[in-house]
Amino acid sequence: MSGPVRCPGCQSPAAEAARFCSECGTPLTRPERVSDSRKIVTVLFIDLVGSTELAETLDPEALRLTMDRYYSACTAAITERGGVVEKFIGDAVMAVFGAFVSNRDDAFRAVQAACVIRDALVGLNVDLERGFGVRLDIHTGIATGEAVVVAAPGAGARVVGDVVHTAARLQSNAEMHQILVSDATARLVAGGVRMEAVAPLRLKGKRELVTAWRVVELLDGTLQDDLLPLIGRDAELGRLLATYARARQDRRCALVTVLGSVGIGKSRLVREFLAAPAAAGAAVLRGTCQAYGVGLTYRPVAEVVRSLPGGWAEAVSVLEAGHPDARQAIRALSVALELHEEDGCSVGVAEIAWAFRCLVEALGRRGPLIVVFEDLHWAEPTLLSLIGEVVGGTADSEVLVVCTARSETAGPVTAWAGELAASVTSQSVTSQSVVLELDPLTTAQSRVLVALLAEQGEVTAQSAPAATAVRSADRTDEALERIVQECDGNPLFAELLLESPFGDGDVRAEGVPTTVRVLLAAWLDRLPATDREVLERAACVGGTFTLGDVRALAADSPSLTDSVLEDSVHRLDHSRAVHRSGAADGYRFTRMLARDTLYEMTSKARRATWHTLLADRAGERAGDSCADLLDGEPAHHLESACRLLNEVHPGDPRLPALTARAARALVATGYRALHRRDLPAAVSLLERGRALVPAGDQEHRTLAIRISDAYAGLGRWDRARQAVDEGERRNGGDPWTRRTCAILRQALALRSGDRSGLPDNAAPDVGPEPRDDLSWCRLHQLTAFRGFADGRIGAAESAMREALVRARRLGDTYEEDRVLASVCELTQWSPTPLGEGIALCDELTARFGTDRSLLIPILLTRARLLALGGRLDDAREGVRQARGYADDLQLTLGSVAAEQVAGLVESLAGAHARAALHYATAAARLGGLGQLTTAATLAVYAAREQFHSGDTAACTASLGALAAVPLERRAQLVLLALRARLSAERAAEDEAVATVEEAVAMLAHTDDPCLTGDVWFEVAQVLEIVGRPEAARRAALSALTNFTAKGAGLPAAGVRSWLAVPRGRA
Amino acid sequence: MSDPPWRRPTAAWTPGVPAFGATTSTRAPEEFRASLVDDVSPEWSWGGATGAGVRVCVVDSGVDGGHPLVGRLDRSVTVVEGSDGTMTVVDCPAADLAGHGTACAGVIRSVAPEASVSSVRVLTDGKTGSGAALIAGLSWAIDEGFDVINLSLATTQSKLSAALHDLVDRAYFRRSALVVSAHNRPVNSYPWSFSSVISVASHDEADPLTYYYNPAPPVEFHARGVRVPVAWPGGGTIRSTGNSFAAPHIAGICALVLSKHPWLTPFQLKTVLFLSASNVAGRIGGAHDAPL
Repeated sequence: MSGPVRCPGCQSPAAEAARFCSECGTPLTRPERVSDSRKIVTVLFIDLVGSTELAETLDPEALRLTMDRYYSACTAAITERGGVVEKFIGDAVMAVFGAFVSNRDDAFRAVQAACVIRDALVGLNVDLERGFGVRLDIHTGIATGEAVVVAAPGAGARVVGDVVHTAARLQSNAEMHQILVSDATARLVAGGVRMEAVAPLRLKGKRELVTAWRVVELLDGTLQDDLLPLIGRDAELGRLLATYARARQDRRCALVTVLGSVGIGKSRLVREFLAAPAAAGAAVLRGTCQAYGVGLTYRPVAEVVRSLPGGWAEAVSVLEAGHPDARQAIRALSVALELHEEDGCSVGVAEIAWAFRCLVEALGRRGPLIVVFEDLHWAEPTLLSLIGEVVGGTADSEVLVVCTARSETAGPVTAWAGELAASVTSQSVTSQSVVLELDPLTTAQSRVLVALLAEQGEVTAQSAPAATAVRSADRTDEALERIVQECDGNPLFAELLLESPFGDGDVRAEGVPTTVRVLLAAWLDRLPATDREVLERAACVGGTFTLGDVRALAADSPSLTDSVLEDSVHRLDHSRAVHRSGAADGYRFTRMLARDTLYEMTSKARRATWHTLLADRAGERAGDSCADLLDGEPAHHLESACRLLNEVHPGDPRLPALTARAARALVATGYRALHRRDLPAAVSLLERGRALVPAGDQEHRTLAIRISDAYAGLGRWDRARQAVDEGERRNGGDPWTRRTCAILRQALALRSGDRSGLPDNAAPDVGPEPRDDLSWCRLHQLTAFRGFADGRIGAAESAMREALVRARRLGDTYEEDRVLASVCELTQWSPTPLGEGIALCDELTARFGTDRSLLIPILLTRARLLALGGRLDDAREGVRQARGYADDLQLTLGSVAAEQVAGLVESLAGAHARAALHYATAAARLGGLGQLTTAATLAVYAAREQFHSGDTAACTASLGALAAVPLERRAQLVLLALRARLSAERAAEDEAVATVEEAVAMLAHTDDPCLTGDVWFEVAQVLEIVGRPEAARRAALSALTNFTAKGAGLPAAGVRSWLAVPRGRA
Repeated sequence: MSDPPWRRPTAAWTPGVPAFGATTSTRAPEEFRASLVDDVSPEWSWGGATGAGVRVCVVDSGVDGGHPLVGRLDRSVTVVEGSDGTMTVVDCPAADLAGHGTACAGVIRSVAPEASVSSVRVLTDGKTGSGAALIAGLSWAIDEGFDVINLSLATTQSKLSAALHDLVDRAYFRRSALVVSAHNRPVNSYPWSFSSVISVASHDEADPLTYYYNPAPPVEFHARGVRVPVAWPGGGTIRSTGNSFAAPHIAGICALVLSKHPWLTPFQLKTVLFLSASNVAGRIGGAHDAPL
């Protein structure tokens, strides 16, 4: 829209420099800058039904008169509620609420305007039908959503966004007299409007069905039932009650000003106070300041007077009964209430203030009186001084004035409350002024509140709240806990985040819900322009930021000089929008939802530019060698820049280079996370990076390996398999990648015990190409896993050492570390002598240095070897250390492994009951992670320890409960030996001997010396029981040979002392 | 580990939407032992049944009788609170402002197309309501002798527990099968947790006739309850999630079974449901157990 400046109210042209409309006196808003900010606006479309017939029926002059009445009814209803008529299209009216400045109730006021217009037509139609025999009928559509508002100076607003089309389409779908509102609008007005669902609409130009609601009627806003108890405001309520009690006792007017951010519970505190028994019997008068509309200054005063049970008449009679100058006071008040035109001699503001004080005084002498002024941040200075006059001057009556105001926008009110406190105190020692600042609820309080909110009704339908549907994989409890964390201690936000006024379960878009964003946008739009510019940049940095970050992003705005910027941040710190945190010039957003809202409402193109700048900046700093501290930061910024730029300028020439950078950064950060064993972060980063790496890139092979490793580490076998498939899909043209993927699938099948999805002929009989080190490295690892599962530990160790050679040739530290750790772990069971194993442990401890996640398996291996060598205390210390590391780093598998080694150490120490407990715990935890094969092995070990502790019954029960999974070789052997012992104890000699023979036959398949030793020793004891001492002795000697070869001194000593006991008649 | 599922300590969570670890498409149902009655199979239970002749009552937020997926209602009543706090049940238009009851009725109709459906509105405040209204509405439905009553709601108020307990036992002895959804969250709540009702939580599979017996009660069955397409007042459908929509699947199946075997008592009906559950019936595999 261009051309002459027009009044937003009556649309008459206005002079270039005019500040008010010369026709109707409406202030002419002149936005200071052309803004491309994203806003949440509510758009209202009203159109006539059958206007063609109307034009045919009516004489043009009569038609013009009719239409003028209709338009002015519309314009008045809209502008009085803060809306802007954007344009008239034919007979249709399009209006926008919240185009320049957002209000929390924009949507409600749009609905209100629509209802007022509909009602106004009833009166208009009576005249029209009488005069011309015609009537006007309208239908209306209202939608709320994000839009870009282009504001050229003086030329009104141009609103660009889908919301405009939605509103127009809703209007054309509305039946006669219907007001249809979009789902977003419905959510915003839910408390104030009764609505009914209509069938989802198929709107022209929309792919999805659109949920819409039909407005039935406006609800009485004062009917607010507080179903939940007030949480966390006991102290404030106590002070309110105490101040009121003092006011009554002293018969002096007192003032309480309640300050706090939007939604923090100011009005609720006041309601709770008014409902308290102590306040019962008091007359309560109330007025609310408005951000819009006409007759602003004294409107709250008028509301207070009219809220007397007898209204104006009662005010008059009270004044006449109790005041000498009643007539003058009545006249002044009637002017303030606009009951009376000023006649010649004008009534000044001082006169009105005096009159109001007279009324309050008179009422306060009749009985206790509480006057409530809400939303004082909208108050004109005149009203503030009027309240000051009442509080300071009212004498000999029981009056409490309670004011509420928002702290973020209440600069003048805060100052006023402070001054008033001072002046009141100086005027009269007994009057008092109290300021109550409401802080956010603590997390514990929020938790109580959210739990109560989730269970509001006595009886509730069991459909899932919207909050749960966001990510349906979550448990409802987790969804609730997320709300506790996200609501910033603000009860209203908690309620809005939880609320699902109608839509069951349909997925809520990620991000801050519109209902909350509207509240925060209303605050943002009232910030000084500089502060907003600063905050937009800070929000792009993240939840925490430094002055330096913001300064780096301020280069595109010459007005944001260093000093302006610092002043602004100090101002924001002072108003508690941000607070100091961390580094010297570090700050943090006090409300994360405000940060998120700011971020979402900043132009995407600007965000993309800023993110790129931040990445460059972080990259430069990383060049200064503090890369670890900044880990992930450039990746996040590059990724965001990429996504945003792709959304607003998909063809931007910078995009390919930016995408490649983002992919590299994400992948590199992901590899570092994997190295740290931060598996969930690694998976997320690597998958995001993979999405940006072009198809056919060699990186996909490495990504497939590492993503599947990370998922395997998390026990998510299905996702591990998907990662392999995905790698092959994205780089399937490469034979080496296909080879590696085939090997990975085999390894996953082996480790998870799930062979589904494996092609029958997938065995990698044909080796990879000789130069394909990565495939070879993985193939050797696979061979090692197979050998280990089969009990051929020596072979497994050799294969692992071959893998090591390949890893070293690749120069791939990730593979090398992984393989080295495996070699080391294998020395626990392989024929490699104990001393060599311990030496390797020591070497790796030095290599991995301070990397505790890599150290855990090494420490545990060392502990096991030490225990076998008889150094039990050193072993226990190693387990303790490893367990501590695992707990610190929250590595589940690490702590399970520690549990398992603890079992071994205690078993070697002869504390079998304790050992059984360790093994059983480890088995249960592994089972929970889906590693059923290993879990079953540990369950067998636990049963063996129960037997050795003398609890045969528990042992039998444990064996009965064994999961039905194929057992590893080691487990089969231990189980056979154990069964043989049980049979022997039961004197089932034949069975015992048969089982022993089976076990001994199976020993040929394993080269694990300690396992072999253990089984031979059990065999010896069984043979002894069944009365075959010579065979028993030979078996024990075999055990001894095996233990000695490994260097396992402790079990060897056990066998020796058993042999030394003279038994039978040898 | 040796305890059967039903002897284990009650889990910290209520089985519910998959969020609560219910039987889901990604996890095999737990194994348990069962004594089977060979004659009873899904085919025996509801093969060829339409629900004809069975009267089902939806005790909820009201039902939109004009919705094509719901069809004509037999009766539509609402609970009205008098000025003295007494509750009375009066006839009302077949409308639903909250959408919840319509969704449930639509599910029942989709399973048992020829059953008669009636509505008692007790959720007077959108998707919540008072305990007194629930008790009044439920008593009415029991006194009216409906064959199946669907209750997709719960209360955490322990003060209502005794009254509800008496009511659901009354329904049990008067042969009204009460199908009740489990609470969506792990809280003590009623009346789904009483043994005389048929309690239902959700699984996340898409087949409306697939349901599972839960060997680790209190909740006894899992039926479809995740992203269920449901009727929406005014016409059309939306997808919704919650145990609310699992219960009407079982209510519909109950209507099918009763239309074929009208003289089953509630305890017999529950046995038939058990024997025909997807994780029980499959074990028989007899010739009479042909796929539907």
